[in-house]
Amino acid sequence: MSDDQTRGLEPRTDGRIGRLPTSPTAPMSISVSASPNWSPGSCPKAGTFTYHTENGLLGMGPAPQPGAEDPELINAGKKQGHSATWRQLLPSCRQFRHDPRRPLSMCACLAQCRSRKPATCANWSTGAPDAIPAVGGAMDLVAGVKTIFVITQHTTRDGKPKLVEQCTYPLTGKGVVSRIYTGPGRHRHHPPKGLPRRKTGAWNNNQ
Amino acid sequence: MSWLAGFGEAGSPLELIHALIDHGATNLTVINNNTGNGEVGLAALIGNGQVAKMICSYPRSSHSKVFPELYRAGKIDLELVPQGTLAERIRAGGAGVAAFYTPTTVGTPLAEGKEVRSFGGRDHVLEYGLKADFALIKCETADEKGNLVFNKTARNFNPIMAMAATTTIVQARRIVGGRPD
Repeated sequence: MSDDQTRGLEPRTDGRIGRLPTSPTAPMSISVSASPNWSPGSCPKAGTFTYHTENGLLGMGPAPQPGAEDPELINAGKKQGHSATWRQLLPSCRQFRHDPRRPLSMCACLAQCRSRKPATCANWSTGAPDAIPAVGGAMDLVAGVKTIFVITQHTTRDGKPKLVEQCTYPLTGKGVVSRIYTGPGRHRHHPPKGLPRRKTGAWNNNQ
Repeated sequence: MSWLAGFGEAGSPLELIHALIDHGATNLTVINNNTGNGEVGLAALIGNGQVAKMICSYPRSSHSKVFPELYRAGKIDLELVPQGTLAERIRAGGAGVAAFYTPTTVGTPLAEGKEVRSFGGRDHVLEYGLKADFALIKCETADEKGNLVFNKTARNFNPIMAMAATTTIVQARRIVGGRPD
């Protein structure tokens, strides 16, 4: 995907994506992991994309009105009742290989990450002795999706940066990340240099 | 070894799991994507001390502390498997495929100790098919010949777990005489 095909990416202060790149040639599937609840709602051009959740719903729509929830129509975050304008329901064995004509082409949204050079990410365990490791479908996505964007808060709850020089957490994928969206800015990976130390005026590695 | 189907609560055979609790079988190895919600179903089975090992992809839940407490106390084992790999291991077990190679987990701690081979210039990790003695699954409609229909995202692991178990026990909302709709 070239920069010419990227329009108006505007990360919001809460770390959501304002707008996503669009392709002039084909509709894109966006596979959403870990925090899927807001993605369709946070993208102004949601109709351009097909959202896929790793529990087998291809064509996830916005959350339903209260009272219209369906406990057997859920997203990967196990939230009920994401209605679909166009959908295909897949068994687990096809969730990550669903349709060769419409390959997952763009995005995995990971709630927590540490990433720097060479664009690794880690979102499933801190490695602490009392941590409960939980990988879900994140490793399948970074191994099988064409382009990986990471969306995350800029800092941890105690204020430490999530974009670090050397990732110390157990990895989800090595060298897989193209961009990272945080509140202050968008950080694009430039191989082999890695992410720029300062992409926007609002961000530096000490934040 | 037992499959318990479901992704979260969708497709989870809660009543069958509570029948298993009433049965009292212990030292179980359970395969499920998660480790249960609240204090019902799989969480109750684990909390009752009947599960020795979980094979799953995402054992955290904001609504249940049963598994984390036992795991931190060293009272339950965990084999962590990425969700797609877990599904493919189950499918392979049901299809009679002993093992397969996947690029998932390459370069991560979950690939440590596993055979790695390169196909098309890309590293792949060897994973083994899974089989189980019993599968407990849930469906929307069943007929008397054992054909099943699943509802929306409650389908998830149910069909492949049914394939890969020696004995599959189904709870159905509706049983029809002819072929299910």
